[in-house]
Amino acid sequence: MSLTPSKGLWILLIGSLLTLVATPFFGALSINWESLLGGESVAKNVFVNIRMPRVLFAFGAGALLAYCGCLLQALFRNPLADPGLLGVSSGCAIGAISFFLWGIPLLEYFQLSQDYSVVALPVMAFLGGLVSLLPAIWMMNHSSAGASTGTLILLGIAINAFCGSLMGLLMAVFPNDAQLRSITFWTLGSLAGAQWKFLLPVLVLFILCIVFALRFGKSLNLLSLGEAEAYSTGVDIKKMKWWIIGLSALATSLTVCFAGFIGFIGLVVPHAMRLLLGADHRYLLLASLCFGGILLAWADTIARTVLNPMELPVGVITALIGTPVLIQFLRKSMSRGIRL
Amino acid sequence: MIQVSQLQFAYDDTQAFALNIPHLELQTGQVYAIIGPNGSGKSTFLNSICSANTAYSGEVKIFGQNTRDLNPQEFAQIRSMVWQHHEKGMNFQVSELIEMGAYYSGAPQVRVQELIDEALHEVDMSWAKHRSSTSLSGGELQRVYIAKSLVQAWSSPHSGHWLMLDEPLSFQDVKQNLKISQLLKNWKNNPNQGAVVICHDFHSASLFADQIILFHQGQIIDQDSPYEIFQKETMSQAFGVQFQWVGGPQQGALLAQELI
Repeated sequence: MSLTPSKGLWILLIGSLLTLVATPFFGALSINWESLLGGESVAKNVFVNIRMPRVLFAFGAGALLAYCGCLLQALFRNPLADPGLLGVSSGCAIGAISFFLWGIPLLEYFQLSQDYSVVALPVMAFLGGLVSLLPAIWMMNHSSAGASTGTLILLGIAINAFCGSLMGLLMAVFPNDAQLRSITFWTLGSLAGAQWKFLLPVLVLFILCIVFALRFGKSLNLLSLGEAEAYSTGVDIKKMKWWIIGLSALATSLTVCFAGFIGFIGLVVPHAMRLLLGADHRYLLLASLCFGGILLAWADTIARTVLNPMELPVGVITALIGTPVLIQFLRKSMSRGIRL
Repeated sequence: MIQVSQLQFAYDDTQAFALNIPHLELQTGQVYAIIGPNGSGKSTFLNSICSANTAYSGEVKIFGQNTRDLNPQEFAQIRSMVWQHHEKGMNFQVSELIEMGAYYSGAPQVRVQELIDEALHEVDMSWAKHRSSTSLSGGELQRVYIAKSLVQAWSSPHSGHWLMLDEPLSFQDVKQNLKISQLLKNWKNNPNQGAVVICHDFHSASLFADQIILFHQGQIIDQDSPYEIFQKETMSQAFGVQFQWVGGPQQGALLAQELI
């Protein structure tokens, strides 16, 4: 392989910067440097208050999702692991749906402005995500070596199934047409609501992820060889599990509550990076962070421009691009004798 | 030195102990082979003295330190472990996988690279240095993991080290079997090093081990030098098989004759 991991990481970093600079120029309203620098107020307003936060948020959400996928695939030694695996995202969904059913009527009852929902919706989703993690946290605390990864996967499947039926129940029994519409829109996933104020928590988590990758990349390499192997080589596996579960829960609920379900990025990006740059997590985590961001930023750009002025759900685009890319990667790796 | 006292472990409360060892002392400068029938507690023993699972009762001291008081990094510097099961990993290069043995040693990178080459040579895998770990056969992967534990031992800042191996010969052909037996034999030339090896192959065990520890139903029923123990009645008692010793007092083979 001619591409060394560090070289690949530099290319991805440059790609990320180019993406962040280029994508805000695409959209329903055509904007170029002249209209921007010429102080045209509409163009400037759209660029600064709508496109920039949206692109930055798309980049951040994609990066965090891919990063979590990478963490969880290492922890579970399972190529199918993605941020939905622990059941956090469906927990978030229950939280969000509860808000649509009871939160909004409450705001109306107390005659509060609907502006509060910008804060209340994410908070409810995050709380839902936390509640869905309680069984896993309880189990981690009640065994000497922490719950086994197999137990955590089974638990995640159970939580997903439970939340799925709860969601079905809530939507069958309670909502009126308007509520049903907003719930459906939310579950499809959209970055249209992105605002500057969402970006602070994303940025904080983003920096935390980078620090973690630099500090614990080695431990993740060992963890991907199995817990027993990792422990006997010097990894504090209980601490690592807490970190991984905590970081992925935070990142998943943060993206789900602001942007709804965005599938595929968390699953595909780590695989693509692993086949391209190898499995060393000191590079792999940062590479997933970059490439996840690039992928979602461009997918969102396509989603909002291709059927201009109509907007497609971004999840449609990620799967449409992601699937052929992954198949191509798999075909290449098979011909090189690498098995996942 | 490893000192074990009152070590007891049960998989659940209702059953008898899967492991019950009132007292055991293992000296450095020796290689110990653990033999015994399936389910006699061999791996459970190694797990109890080496793994993160501290659900046993009793006390294990390695180089005078209680293993419960050691953090994983300190523990990794005084013992390394080759498990029975080897994960192929996610597209690591063989050299990357072996390097992981030195992650928590603090040894400088140049030194670690030298050790990797040396370890690859020891296990006859130098040709595979840049291969993907996913492309190796079971026996080759097992040798890579042995190399990883060698690097862990060599790079450690602690002068004494215990090597623990759970059936390291299980996937090896006859040539590699002899090479690894030789490696273990050389291992004890350093008086600060010791090894504990679980092994089902009596012949190999007699080649590398100074002492053989015989497990039966979670207990140690005998401990002796290879040629002594193979001619004792305790072997038949443990395995339920009538053995015949063929050869002289210092060389020979143990044949399984018939079921008792």
